[in-house]
Formats: sequence, structure tokens, C-alpha cells
Amino acid sequence: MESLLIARNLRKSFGSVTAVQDISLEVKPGECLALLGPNGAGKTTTVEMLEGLIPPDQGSISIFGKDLKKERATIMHDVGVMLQDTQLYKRMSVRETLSLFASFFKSSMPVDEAIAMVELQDKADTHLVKLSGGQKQRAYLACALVNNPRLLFLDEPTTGLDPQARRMIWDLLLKHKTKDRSILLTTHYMDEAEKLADRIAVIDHGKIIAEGSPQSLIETVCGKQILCFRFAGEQTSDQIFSTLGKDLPWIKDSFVSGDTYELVASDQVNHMTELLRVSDRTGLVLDQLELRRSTLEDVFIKLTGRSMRDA
Amino acid sequence: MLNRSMVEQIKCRWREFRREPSAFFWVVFMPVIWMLALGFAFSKPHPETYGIGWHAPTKATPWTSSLHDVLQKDPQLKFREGDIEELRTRMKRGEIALIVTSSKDQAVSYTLDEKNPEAVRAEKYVDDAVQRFGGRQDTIQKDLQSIEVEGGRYVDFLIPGLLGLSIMTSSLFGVGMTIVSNRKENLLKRYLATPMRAYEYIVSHVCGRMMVLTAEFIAVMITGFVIFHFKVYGNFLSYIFFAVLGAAAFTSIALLCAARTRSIPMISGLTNLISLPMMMLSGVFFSKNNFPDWLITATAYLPLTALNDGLRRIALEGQPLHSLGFEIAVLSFYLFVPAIITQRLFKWF
Repeated sequence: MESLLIARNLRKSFGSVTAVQDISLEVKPGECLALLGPNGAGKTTTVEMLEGLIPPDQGSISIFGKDLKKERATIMHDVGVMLQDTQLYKRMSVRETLSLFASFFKSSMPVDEAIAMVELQDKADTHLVKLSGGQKQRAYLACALVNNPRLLFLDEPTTGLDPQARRMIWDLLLKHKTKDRSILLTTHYMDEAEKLADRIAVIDHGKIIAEGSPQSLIETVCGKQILCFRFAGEQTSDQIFSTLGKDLPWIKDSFVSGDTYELVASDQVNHMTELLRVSDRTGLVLDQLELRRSTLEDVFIKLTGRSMRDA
Repeated sequence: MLNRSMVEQIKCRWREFRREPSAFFWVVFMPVIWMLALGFAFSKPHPETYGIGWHAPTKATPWTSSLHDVLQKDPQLKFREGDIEELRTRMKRGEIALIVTSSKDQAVSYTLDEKNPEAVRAEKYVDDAVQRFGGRQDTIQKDLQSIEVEGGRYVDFLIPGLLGLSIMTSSLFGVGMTIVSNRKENLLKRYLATPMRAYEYIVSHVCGRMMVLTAEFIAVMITGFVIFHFKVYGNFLSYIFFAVLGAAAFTSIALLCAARTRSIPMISGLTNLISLPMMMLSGVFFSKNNFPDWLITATAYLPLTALNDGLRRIALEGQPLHSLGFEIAVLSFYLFVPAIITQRLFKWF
């Protein structure tokens, strides 16, 4: 099936800062692609180029088989967009806001249907200023969906929302996905990408550093499990590494987060046994030792050596 | 041209205005309050009064005492007495413009700052009174015929000026602030991510401005007609045309100010920078005839001067549009030139 969106070798600089170095990606019909990366990785710049808001310095973008540069006006009739940090008119009701957005498109769903889709029927005549963060975000989502878009861009759709409001947005998006619509999502939340995306492109420093389905990314980069351990006492990581490094050369590959060590490795059971044996011999007391399921955060750490939150 | 999207955008502009109580207040009530306050305060003009100080360094003689009494009883003089130091301090404070010193019979001396026009007028008035007291006779017979010039009251002068001022401030602040705040909140970027055509947004602002103009026009004119029996001696449609042209010119200036600005303090400062000098120099509240000639010539090219002059000539002098070529040219310049520059400079985010 032909991809709805094809971007090739995108590059964008702002002055001396290169925000996007070389990004190529595709979104297939019915697919949700998540661009996952820390803040400042180049996700928003990439998505704004794909939405035609900023021109790339280099590269080409085609949406629905049409060149975005030449036929943007036509393309946008079938595209929905939810930007990061947008404030719509505070003193307009949900219904009035949706009527305004619906009027921009050649064809759109009835406003009440859009309101029902995001479950805001009881707030239809409430001004946006009086809505909670989650309700407002749902209203913004309705603005992005009002034209029944074949391709939906969502830039950090749940940033700043409480867990319940995030889950509600996810449910709405999962429902939208069942209609065989495509989504390009940017997020720095691992759980969001895992929940919504069919495919993930991990972005760091303006480049895609890994791509695949959430499960395949986790399995190929990290394996299914992570070895986590913690020692009792006040030793620094350097002291631990020098004490154990001779017998356990792999320990230096651990990622240290506070006083916890996390190791991505293929043969976790052997590593666990070795760690127990050597720490017992060297007098180090293990406070915690466990195997946990690998996550996309581990993928990011393995690929960049940094935590997504610290990046 | 008026498609569904445009209609929705125009509705949106009206809702923005209507639902912002402070905007409604400034546009509709503020000019009316100004009109009522100033219209009533100056409806019965009083002769000018002057503050003068009386200084008597020597013991009073019958002659100086009589002169003292004459000046003290003059209703146009606010009379103060004291030693010279105290009087000079009062002069610095602006309480008096002239010090009259009388130390011997048949002689007075005046102390004043000759660069102060009020002091010069005060000296002329007081000296006239002193000379009459001294026995000067007018030799020419004088006959005073008082008439009332149509449209010659202060409030007749004030109403078109207030309408012009209201059009300027509501256009500059309304359009400029709204666009900058929309840009700051990424709303313009959000619009750009739809198939909406850019001109629709701009045209909606122009239409929105015309709706606001209708509100302020009705408020000012009805108050003028009903309370002050204001009359438009010229063609009323020409009067409306001039108001619309003025609103369009100021909307265009506002669009230019907001073309790239991202911060509210910046647009606010820029708008004040433009509007404050015009408030003072374009003859809103008082005639600019007392300005030096070069300043009158220079201020004629300001859009608010052109608007006020045009409105006054139509309303008070009954002049037709074709005699207002200069004012129309000035306003057209401020309409088209900023609009063309804005088209090139405007940034959505």
C-alpha cells in the first residue's frame, strides 16, 4: 500500500543550530507512527516541516502522493493538526470554536458529531476558558478531527495533563485509529508511544537513531528484560565499578540512575548469578536485585547513553 | 468573497469584542464619558482668569490702597498677597503668572516670565486695568454685537474630535493587541495549519473593525445629537465615509505594528508611541491654531489630524467630500502604504 506521507532527507537549521540533520520517514494508511525523543530532539521542527508550517532547508515531502510545497492548500483539506501549546479563543464556546474550524474545510462532519466524538456534549456551550486542561485538549482534538482527516498530526497531545485526562485522550485516539486513519504523533512519553504507536522512530539530536514497532525495538535493542540492582552502603559508582570491574567487566555498561544500576544484556540470568557471587566475595551487600520488563526508555538509554528525562 | 469561513471569522471577531467587557467599555462608554464631562464643563465659557501677586514693599498710600482694591475686586483676577519670596514660589508653582509691585504713587512694576504666554496676557489685562484706574480714557466709540455661530460651540468642536480619537484608539489597540496575542498563543500558527486563506483572517479584522466602528459611531453621535443637540451641517453619508476611511487607515497602521511583534508590552508601547503624540497634536480636545505655523503644517500630515479636520469640515462647515482632497489623500496614504508593507512583513508565528 502506498504511504500517505513520504519525507526524504529533511534538514533544518536555525542560525547556527541544526535542529533536524537528516530525517526520512513514511506513514502508511491506517498506521500510527510516533516520533519519540527528549525535548529539543527535533521532533516539533520535523512535524512542523511535515505540516508545511516551516520550509525544510533540504529534502522533499509528499503527502497523499502530492508535493507539499506545491499543493499544500489542497493537501490540508485532508489533514488534521493538533499543535503543542496552542490557546484558542478563550471566550468562545466549544461549539463556536468547532464551527469556526469546520468552516475552513471543503467537507467536515457536523459540529455536534465532533463534540460527541470527544465526549464534550455537556460542555458544548461552555467557553474554553472555563474548561479543565483535559477538556480543553479534547476540544482541540475535536478541531483536529472535524474534517475527518486521512492524516492526523499530534504534537505532544497529552503534555501537562493528569493521568486520567491522558488516558481519555488515548482512548479517543485509539477509537480514531480503528477508522483506518493515519496518525503521526510526537511525544516524549514512552507509555504514550507504546500505547498508541504501531511504529516508533526514536529521534535524538535531529536524527532518527532507531525505528520499528515498540516490541521489536525493545527486543532488538535491549532484550526482553533488564537487570536492576542496588547496593547497601554509601559507595559511589566509581568505587563499585573498581571493586567489581575486575571480575565483572560488564558492570561498567550499567546505567546509573541515583543509586540504582540497570543493565541491558542478553544473558541476564548468568549476569545475576555472577553478581551475587562476586559481591558476596568482595563484601558488598546487595539491597535490591531484580529482573524487569524492558521499556522504550531502556531503548533510548541503550542507544544514547542518556535517560530520556535527562536528555 | 463572503464564504462560510469568512462569515465564521467575522462572527469570531464580533464575539471577541462583545465578550471582552473592558473592550466594550473603552470603545462605547469612554468617548461618551469624555463628551459629557468636557461638553458640560465648557458649555458656558467663562472669561479667562489670571493669577496675580500683589507686592507692597513700602507702607500703603491712599493711591496704592485704591489700586490694590480695584485689582482685588476684579472677577478675572485671582489675587494673592505676600512678600516677594512667597510670590516667586507661587509663580514657580504656576499659581500666579504675574507679580505687581507698587511702592509709590503713580507707578507700578510688573515681574513676569515673558516666555509664558499666560503671563504676557495677564500683564496686558492688568496693565489695562491699571491705566484705566489711572484715568486713561478710550477715545473710540465701541459697539459690541454678540451672535452665535452655528456649530461654533466648544462641544461642536469636541464631538468630531472625540469620534476621531475613539476610532484611532480602538483600531490601534483592538487590532494590534488581538493579533499579537493570537500570535503569542500560537493561534495564528494553528490557523496556518488549516486550508484557511490568509487574507480571510486579515479581512475579518477589517470587517470586525467596521462593526466596532458602528458601535462607537452610534454611541458618540446619539449622545451628541440627544444631549448636546449636535448637528452635522454637511452630508451625513460623507461624514460616515470619513469615519470609515479613518478606521480603515488606523486598522492598516495597527496591522503593520502587529506584523511581526510577539510581545504584548512591545505592541502596547508601539501603539502608545503612535497614539500619544497624535492625541496631543491632532486637535482632539483643543484647536491647534495656537501651535507655531511649522507645527501646524507638520501635524497636518498625521492621520488623526486628517481625520479630525475632515470630520469637522463636513460636520461644522458643511463642506462636500471633493473639497477635502488633502485629508482624503493623507488617510489613503496611511491606508495603503502600511497595508502593502504588512503584506510583505507579516509573520504568522
